[in-house]
Amino acid sequence: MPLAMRTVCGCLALLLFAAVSGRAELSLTGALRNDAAWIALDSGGHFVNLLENRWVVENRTDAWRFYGDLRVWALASPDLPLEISEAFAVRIPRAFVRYLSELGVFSLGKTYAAFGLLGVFNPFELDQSVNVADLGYVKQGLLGLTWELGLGDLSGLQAFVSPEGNSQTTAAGLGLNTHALGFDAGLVVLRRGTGQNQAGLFLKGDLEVEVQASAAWHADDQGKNGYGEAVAGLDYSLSDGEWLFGVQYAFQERAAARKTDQAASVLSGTSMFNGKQYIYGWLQYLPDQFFQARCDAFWNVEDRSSLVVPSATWVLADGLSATLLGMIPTGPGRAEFGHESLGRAALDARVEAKF
Amino acid sequence: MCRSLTFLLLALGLTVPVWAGDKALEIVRRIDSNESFKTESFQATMTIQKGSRTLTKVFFGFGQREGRKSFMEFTNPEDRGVKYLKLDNEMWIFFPDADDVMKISGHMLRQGMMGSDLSYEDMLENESLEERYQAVLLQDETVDNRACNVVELTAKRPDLTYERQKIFVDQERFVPLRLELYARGGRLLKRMSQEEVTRIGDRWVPLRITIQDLRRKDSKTVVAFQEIKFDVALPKDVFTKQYLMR
Repeated sequence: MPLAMRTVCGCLALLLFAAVSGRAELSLTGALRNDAAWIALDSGGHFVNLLENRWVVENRTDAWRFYGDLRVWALASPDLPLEISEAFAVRIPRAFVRYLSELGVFSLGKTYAAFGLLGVFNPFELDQSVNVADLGYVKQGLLGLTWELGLGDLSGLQAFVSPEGNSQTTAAGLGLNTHALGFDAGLVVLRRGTGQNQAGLFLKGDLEVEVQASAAWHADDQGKNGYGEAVAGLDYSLSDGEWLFGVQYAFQERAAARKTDQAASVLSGTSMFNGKQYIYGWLQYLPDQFFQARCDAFWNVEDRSSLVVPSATWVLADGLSATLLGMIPTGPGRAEFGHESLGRAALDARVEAKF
Repeated sequence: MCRSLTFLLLALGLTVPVWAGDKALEIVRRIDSNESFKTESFQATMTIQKGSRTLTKVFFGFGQREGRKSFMEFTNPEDRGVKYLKLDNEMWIFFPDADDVMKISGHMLRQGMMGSDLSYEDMLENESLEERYQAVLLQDETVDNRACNVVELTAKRPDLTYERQKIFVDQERFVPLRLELYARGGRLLKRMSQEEVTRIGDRWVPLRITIQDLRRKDSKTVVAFQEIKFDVALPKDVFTKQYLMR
């Protein structure tokens, strides 16, 4: 049985276990999300529609937690001249059993070990994928075992191992997190499926503005073939939090942070951020809970191309929101963010209902 | 003042105040006597209103006076599993989708919690009013048909979120029924009212609190407590990062 099939079966078993277990606090939530996108390529305009149905089942007791996240995608692209791998797909990004004990928190199944700081250019991210149309989109879990041991209220040890030997994303990792002088900080050591080893540190805290930085060194088992990766950034707000902005500089000596485009992988499997240096900036207007406008911009420092992603979101009611989002590559044809790679522009109308 | 609002109001500094003048001092001591819990648990709803539109959040939580620790978890479908941990003057948020914890700092501090009229910065204020403010007793007024002492508080330091506060304290129950929070320069930033004052054990506790951030047009947030318990046993290790992963 192929590994992918075993993974899916294992996850379904966990889901079933979670669903039928007679333990307390069983919950079932879901979401329906539709992205209707118009993409302007050199060959003309094309329409793509992606419908995602999400179901999350969760069952908790004081010591146990069962969690499963099932996604069903239906893709329609009547005239898009790209190779479409799957018009209909079922995914299980997460399905795990978690056990809390005196010896720590153990998670087994399709789970995720979050090392480092959340963000597009986190050097310690196990799943190097990104969805520029939704930067908060959930990361794909890995079949494996995580262990987290608290060392005080805010410090802890974190370990992860995955048996998916052939997967490039397979990793074994160890992290030590702590909090001091108002900063969250940590050390991380990773062994990736590519045969590369990685060690580094991160920190995040307040110095009037929020600052964060991460740095990692990669090397093979002989300690050779080394290269570095780092990201540093800050953010701030104005007008009592109505206006927020941030900027990050990312350096990846050998394009170590190359990402898979989560959204495009459904269509074409393209990768992003293949360069060495990037500047990422964002500006957000957040007057209240019912509306927000935001603009994200990624700039490839070497080829000087950029991708600008303006968006506006309206919360229409409890659990119901609508988003209008644009994607505008500004670079010349063959640049990373050029029209030959990403098209001329895209416009996405998204409606999402949570229930 | 209601200690039960560890997350929501304790931070606003209406705690353990002592200010100049015998009358003011007496009022403060009576308020303080209303707030002598060690731990608490609560269940509540938070309704965010803007014009005719409404969003409702449901949550429960725990508080501990020692160390000024709090924990909150949201249970409404849209926010299910979002959790907050507050330890002294720092906060962390748990995102269930990412299965990860993030420190709330920098730009997020001035945002409203879950989009409400109460900011994270409000929630992180820990020091007592005595440490932060000087107080003057003003002319008595009536709020909701109840006689109130009016106390004006002026910041001792320039780094406080509110340069001035004006609180209207029920003369019989010693619970502030109305609060006005001013920025430097005298601008009225927020207005709060506390209603449905109920006796729980030997304390008077408001079960309904309305917060208006006046910088937002037609906006207000109502927090209604369905249950509050004091001096209860709390889940083990509830005020740790590891518990957020539960």
